[in-house]
Amino acid sequence: MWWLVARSARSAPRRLLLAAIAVAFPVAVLGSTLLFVEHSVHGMTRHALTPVQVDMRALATTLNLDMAKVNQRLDGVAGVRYVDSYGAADVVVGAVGAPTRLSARLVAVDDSYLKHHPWVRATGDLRAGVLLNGGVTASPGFSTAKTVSIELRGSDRPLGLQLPVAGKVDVRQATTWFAIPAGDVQGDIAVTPRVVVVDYATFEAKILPLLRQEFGGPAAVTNPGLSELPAASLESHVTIARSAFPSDPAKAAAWSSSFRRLLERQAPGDIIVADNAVEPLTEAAGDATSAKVIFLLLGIPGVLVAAALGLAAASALADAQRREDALLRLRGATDTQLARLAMEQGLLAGVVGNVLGLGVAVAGTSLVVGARVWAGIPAGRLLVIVAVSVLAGAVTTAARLVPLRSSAKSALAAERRHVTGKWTPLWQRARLDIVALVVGLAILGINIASGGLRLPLLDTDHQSQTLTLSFFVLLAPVAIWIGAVLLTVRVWLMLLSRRTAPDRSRPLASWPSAAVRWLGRRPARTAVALSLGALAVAFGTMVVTFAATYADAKAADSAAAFGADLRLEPATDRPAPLPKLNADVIATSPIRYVPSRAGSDRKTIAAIDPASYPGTATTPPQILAGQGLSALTKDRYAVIVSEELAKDFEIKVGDTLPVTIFPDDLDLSQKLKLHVSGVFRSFPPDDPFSELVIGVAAVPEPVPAPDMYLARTAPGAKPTDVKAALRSAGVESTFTVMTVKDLPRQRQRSLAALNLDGLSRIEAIAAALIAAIGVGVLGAFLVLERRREFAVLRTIGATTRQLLTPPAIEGTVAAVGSILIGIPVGIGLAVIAVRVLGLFFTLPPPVVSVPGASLIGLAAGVLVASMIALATVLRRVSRLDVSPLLREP
Amino acid sequence: MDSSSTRAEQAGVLASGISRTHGSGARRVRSLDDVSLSVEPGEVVAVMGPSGSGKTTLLHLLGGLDRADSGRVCIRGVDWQSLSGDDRAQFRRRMCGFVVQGFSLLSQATVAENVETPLLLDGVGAAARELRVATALERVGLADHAVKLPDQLSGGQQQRVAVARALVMEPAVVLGDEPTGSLDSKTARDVVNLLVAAAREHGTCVVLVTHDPRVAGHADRVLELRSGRIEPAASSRAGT
Repeated sequence: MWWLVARSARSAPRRLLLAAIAVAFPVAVLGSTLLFVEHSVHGMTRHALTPVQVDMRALATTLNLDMAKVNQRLDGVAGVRYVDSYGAADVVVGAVGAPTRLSARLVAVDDSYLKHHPWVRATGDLRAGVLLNGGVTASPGFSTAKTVSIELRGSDRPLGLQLPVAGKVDVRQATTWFAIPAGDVQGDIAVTPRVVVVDYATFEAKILPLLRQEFGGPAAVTNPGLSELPAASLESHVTIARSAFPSDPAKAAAWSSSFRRLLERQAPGDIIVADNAVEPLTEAAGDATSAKVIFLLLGIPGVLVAAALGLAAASALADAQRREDALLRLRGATDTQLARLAMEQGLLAGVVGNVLGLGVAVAGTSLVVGARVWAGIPAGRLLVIVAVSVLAGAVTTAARLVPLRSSAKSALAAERRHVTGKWTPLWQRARLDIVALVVGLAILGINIASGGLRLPLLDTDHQSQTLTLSFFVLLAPVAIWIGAVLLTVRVWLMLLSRRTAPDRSRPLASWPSAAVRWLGRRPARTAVALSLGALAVAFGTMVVTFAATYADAKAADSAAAFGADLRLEPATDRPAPLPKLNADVIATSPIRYVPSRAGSDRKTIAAIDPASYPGTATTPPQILAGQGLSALTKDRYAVIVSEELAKDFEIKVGDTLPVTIFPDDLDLSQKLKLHVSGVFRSFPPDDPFSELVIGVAAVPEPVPAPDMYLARTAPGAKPTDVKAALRSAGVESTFTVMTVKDLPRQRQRSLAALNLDGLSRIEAIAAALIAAIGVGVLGAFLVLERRREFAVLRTIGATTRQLLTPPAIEGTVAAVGSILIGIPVGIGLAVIAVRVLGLFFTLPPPVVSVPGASLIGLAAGVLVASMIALATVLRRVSRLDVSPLLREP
Repeated sequence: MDSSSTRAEQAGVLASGISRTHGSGARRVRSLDDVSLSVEPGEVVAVMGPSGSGKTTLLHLLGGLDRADSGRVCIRGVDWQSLSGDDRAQFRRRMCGFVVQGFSLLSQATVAENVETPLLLDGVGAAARELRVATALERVGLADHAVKLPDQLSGGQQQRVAVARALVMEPAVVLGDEPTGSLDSKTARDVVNLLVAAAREHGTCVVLVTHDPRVAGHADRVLELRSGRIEPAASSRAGT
């Protein structure tokens, strides 16, 4: 029998190709969506690890430990890239000519540490002496000191260490050095204003012996109640090769935990390993699940409509199959043989279609993401993607075999029923439109009633619930998408049917109007093309609108995170006055970050200047309760707290909040009683994040120098141009000028960093192709079913133009109708779908951002592709040979 | 003016030496072989012959739906070969009416619209169309069925609509390909009578391809086609 299959493939290659394309389409759409999802999700591990400075901290449980041996063992573990020695201790430093000695944090690292960790900015040769940070050099007597003396803080044993000043060090970014390494408040940043950095060899030889005498026995890190930086600490900072982490963040989180235990086993009992990577990876794993839900629910409609298109195309082939079967039956073929032949032809088309679809998926997705999409995805996941895609192709193949088999048995008269258009599509008979709408609205109603979309993102207790709900919320647009489109088509058909009913004698106004009137009486085929096209366009519109709204929400989020047109940050950690800026900078406002402690938790306070702040902030604060900026003007000790802090501390507007500012600076530490005046969701600049906002008047003297200035540019002046002008004016010698594009986001979730453009492009192209092929399938039906009608029109003298008018009108109605129905429905769906974005971003997303240019592009793509398909059909019609057609029974 | 062109103009239909071959290579079949035929205005000619003898091919060549390999076909002195594209379609619309066996109506159009279609394609004004459609339907006895769709009519009624559509343009020639093939004898007689009446009243040439001797009995002349050739002996005046 296979020789017959091969022969039919040779004799009708276009039919085989069309059948294969019918299978390939859903395979390609599903495959590309899955590949894009995996590609995006696997990028999340890299994104999550970006802000992690030190992946693992191996903390010595006693200062008596020989860290050189520990380092050697850790270095031998596969996956470890660097192991750097680290020591720290509280000290006091003195200098000749300095009126007082200063308390400071001493950090000991190797020169290689500074190379491996560029977030420590050092100038000078560490091996030649000591590096001083700005907090030290700003103190009287230290700015010109040639040597400094170092003693252990709180120790009676003299260290008597004198070291030459070898350079400067800026540790403003070195949060790991100030992160409390263990205990209940592990990870809290204890900001130490004065830091000296010495060579680890010097530390080991001259300081560690005294530390061992002073702090012998179990190290502070073994104390579960640790709430400060340990007075002395001996650590190995382990950097793990990024390639060692599994690309899936969930697997990476699990791997990180097991890797931590593996490291601990290198020196059992001697070290405790703190895993700094697991927390961002765990968060990214949750985000990856959400991203999969979003991607799949954005992509699944495409798969559904592609599969429907495949089945519609298969129906078009059934007629041709019937003719061939009739011929074979005349030659003696039995029904069983014909059914087997149909099955084998279907299988051949299925295999070719699956291969074609997978190829298109891989090539298309690689093209869109600009990289080999399979690279970085584990082989197991790739196999799953291939299997799922092939399954979609198999289901489509199985579904299309039904009409092929039935066509072998159907009588000519039954086919006439289709030609005359006296049939109703299954969805109309089953009232699928009504059912889908009711289901979609019910899901949406239940979610709105249960507050599913109002849960705040950062409420970790409810986070999993939020994401589960969002899954169902995103099912609603899918159901409403099907229901709304099909209902619109049903209403359109009903109206058209009423207007064109043959109930009274009305002369035909013109040949085109006759074509429209007759279309209304047999709309079934056009309705199929219109339904497919409208579903595809609505789906494409929803995806591009969702992506545009996501992009706008991301931009708004970034704007709020950045806070202004420009930021000016001191280039070094030594205070410097703001230089004269050019005329395009019309306002500046200082921001100071004041470390504080509320209860046992360390919090960051942003101290702003309420008078100048409004003139520079580009995004106003989002106040959830109480007052905003005005409260800071009226009340010197007013504080506006973040939503999270209000919830964690159970504080309300009107409460008093006692805090300790500069808790880790013995000289500046003070207690303040702040008056809670408001609760904010966002108080730009959101990055770096401050849990509390106060007026600068609340900060007791000496007020520290600003950590940054927000700046507003003149109307019409581009921030990037102003930045370039300031740089060329030499401002950068004292201040770094940044625009929003320069901000490295520390607190941005993986979900807020996704790039939906690729998916949007894939789905928009798929939508345009589906709509066009829908028109093409309509055309195929017209050619197949109405051949005799075209022949009859020829006999009564229709010119080619007149002959082509009805199919041209039907194709145009399908293409234009798809756009007219699809775009509004798609925008409506996007309004519902984008509500879920509220879960990702700090600021509530816009109602919807309609991407005019993209939608015009989508509509143009649909029209052009449809017109090409239509032109092919019309060419076929114009070339029909009338004489043999009139001989057909 | 030579004698042949005068003859062509005088004859409603003139075919001279037409041949037509279908297929290629080993499957090449000569459907018509040097056939000549003349039909005078008002004359009814029946073409008979076994299946595959070339009857339908002849009819399609007469109606300009197919092109002869050699020879020429003229309708009222106009050679089909001199026409192409839209001119050919327009000429067919005005000069030829077709009635074919079964399913020749536009299924989505009402009876009136089916009859109106050639007039609409020809750009006839709405008022004139309405009048001519009503007259044509009156003539075939279907005035009361104007707003019905074809599938609401019997086979005979459908064929009468096809006749009305063929005649509404008052063509020079009506070509019928088994127009009564699926009809009972009474209905078949009614349909043939309509065509004969058109020939008699309007001088229309009528060429009917048929297997039915009773239909052929209404013709002025019967031609017998065998293997693509007209059998001289079989060509006769009906009733002679």
